[in-house]
Amino acid sequence: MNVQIIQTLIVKELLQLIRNPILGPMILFSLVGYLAVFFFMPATLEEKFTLGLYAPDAPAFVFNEFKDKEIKIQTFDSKETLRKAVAKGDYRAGVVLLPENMQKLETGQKTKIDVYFPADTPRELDHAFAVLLTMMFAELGDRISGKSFNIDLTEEILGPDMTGKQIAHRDRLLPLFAVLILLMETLALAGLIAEEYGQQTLQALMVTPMNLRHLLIGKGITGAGLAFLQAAVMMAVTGGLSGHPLLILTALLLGALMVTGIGFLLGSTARDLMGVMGWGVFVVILLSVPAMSVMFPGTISGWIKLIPSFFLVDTVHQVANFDAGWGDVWQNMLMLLLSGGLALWLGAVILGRKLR
Amino acid sequence: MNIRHIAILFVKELVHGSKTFFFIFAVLMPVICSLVVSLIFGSLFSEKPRLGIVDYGNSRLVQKVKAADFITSEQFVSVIALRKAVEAGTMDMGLVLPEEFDSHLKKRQWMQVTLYIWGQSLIKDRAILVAAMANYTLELVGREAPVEINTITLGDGEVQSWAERFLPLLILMAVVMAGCMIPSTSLVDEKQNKTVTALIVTPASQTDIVFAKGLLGAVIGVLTAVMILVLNRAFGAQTLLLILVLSMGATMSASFGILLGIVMKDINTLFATMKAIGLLLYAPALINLIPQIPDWVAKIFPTYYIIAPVIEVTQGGGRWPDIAADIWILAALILALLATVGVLARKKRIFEI
Repeated sequence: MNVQIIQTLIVKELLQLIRNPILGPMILFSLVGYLAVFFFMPATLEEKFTLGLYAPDAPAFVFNEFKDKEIKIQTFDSKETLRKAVAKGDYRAGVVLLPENMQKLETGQKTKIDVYFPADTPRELDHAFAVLLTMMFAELGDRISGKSFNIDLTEEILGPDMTGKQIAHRDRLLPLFAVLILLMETLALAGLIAEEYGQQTLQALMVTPMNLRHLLIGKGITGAGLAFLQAAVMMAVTGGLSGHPLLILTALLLGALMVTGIGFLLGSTARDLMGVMGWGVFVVILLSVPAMSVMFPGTISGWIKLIPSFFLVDTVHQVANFDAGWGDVWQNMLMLLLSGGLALWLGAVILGRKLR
Repeated sequence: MNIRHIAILFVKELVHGSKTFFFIFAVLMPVICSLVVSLIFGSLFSEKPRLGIVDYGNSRLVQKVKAADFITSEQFVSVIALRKAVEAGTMDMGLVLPEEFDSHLKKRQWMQVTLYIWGQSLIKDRAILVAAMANYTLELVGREAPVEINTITLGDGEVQSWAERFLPLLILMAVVMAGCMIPSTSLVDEKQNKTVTALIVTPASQTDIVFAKGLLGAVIGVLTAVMILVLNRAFGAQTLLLILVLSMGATMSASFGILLGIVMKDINTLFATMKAIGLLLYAPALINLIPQIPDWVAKIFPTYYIIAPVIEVTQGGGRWPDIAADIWILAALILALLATVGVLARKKRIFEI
């Protein structure tokens, strides 16, 4: 095997990719685009309600009740400032708790409490919030009057309790971005192969000292290397490498090998660049489906494990968002290695046959 | 212009063109996007907490929970199935109601109720579900809550769901993708494959050929847009007016598609150009997604005059006087585009090899 030939081929591949009017910008913009979307999204998840409260002379236990219910409150000096803040959309709701409300609660009489809602939130959510406040004050009234329910409620939390450390939407998107970045590279690699085959430059290369093995290795290194590099840059910039960098990088490398194999398959199946784009859309959609199970837990059932990208998505999600280690994800890594190896071998064999 | 020639060419375009990648892409992509948007923003991002219930005693609490507009509820047949759903995150909470829950409650007899909580559910969702369950339990025993919440809505902001905000983008995608992509790719493809040679020797004129290609793009654009509106249950009451607006929008897109088809030499350049100007074409719909941007910004873009009347008719219940001004501007834009196409066609002699 001639290393110099492979090096020359890699340089040629890179130049060809950069000069291509469709594939070059597609690769660059996809990385920049995903990073822009990531940083545009909120870094935290709003776990609790925040409401404004105008409650002159309210006793301390009222504030404690809000605290017990995990509702953040901001007190106001007047009804008017509270109204303005709620109308502006700064708070989910504004509660006006007057001394007469408190007197009636203490004496067990029914009382009417004014609650302000901003106009641009769905009515059913206002309804939900009204029920929440009703029950909070009802509980407060019950506590004062000594009433209670005859229910013994047993609570069981299933799965890790993420209270106070919920995963932000943008962090749930990270595995999807990793898969999409790898797949963009796949489309680029497949596009180049199809284009070269269509223009018969691949056949021309075969009459040079370069043989089929050089070609596959050169294209494989370029494709997998670029895919891995971009995915690694994205993970580094978004903070995904802060926990277990070696584990994430290994998973990305295995994922890059897998998509390179898929790129070979696509490139040998499609007739031209448009064919690659056409088939590629379906491949991208299919391999992105496992990321949905991370973004929307509970929406997809066990069959998702039949799609090989699941093992990459799950590993990135577990390691980046749940601080999982090698011991937790070794099965995923093994499956990724097997599926990546199989895809690469199959892609190389089929492309090799086509070129022979 | 010969109508018979146009009809023959139209059928030929429909039969052969419908097998191409671009045709399928132009029709399927807006429909897939519409389905994805309604899935994601219709149910997945609905912000409603989800409650699963196993009821061993036909409790009235279940009916009350199902009737609540702020909860998504589902009944399960066994505790195992409920646990599994909560553990997977399909439900935020799972409630197991024992036999004779209602009667025990009324008789004030102590009973055991199990509540499963998904570890990743948000505190606010847990709070709402627990409050709702407590509220309905109070109602079941006939106890009145000591508090009445007087709901006061402030400001005049319009409540628009994300699915509604995305609708203009989906309609614009349908009209622009099919209207623009089908004639432009067909023209460029004919030029690239040199099949124009065969067309030149037929009695069909250059105008007949271009018109047939544009007509197919416009018809498919209208049909796809109608499909999107039907899928989103947003067809409105003014059917004829809506069809008129969509047809004019598709005509404008098809004219632009023909213009691109005349100017571009190969499919790669066409593809790159369409990607580059895509943002400008979809700008009015993208601006609609961000309410903070003033309305006048969208009016700068020509495609605004396609989408504004459609939204006015479908979402605002608008009639002819409400959209007349936009329609006249749209008509003027179509005429301007057609005039440019005519001038360019004569200048570039598109079918000359």
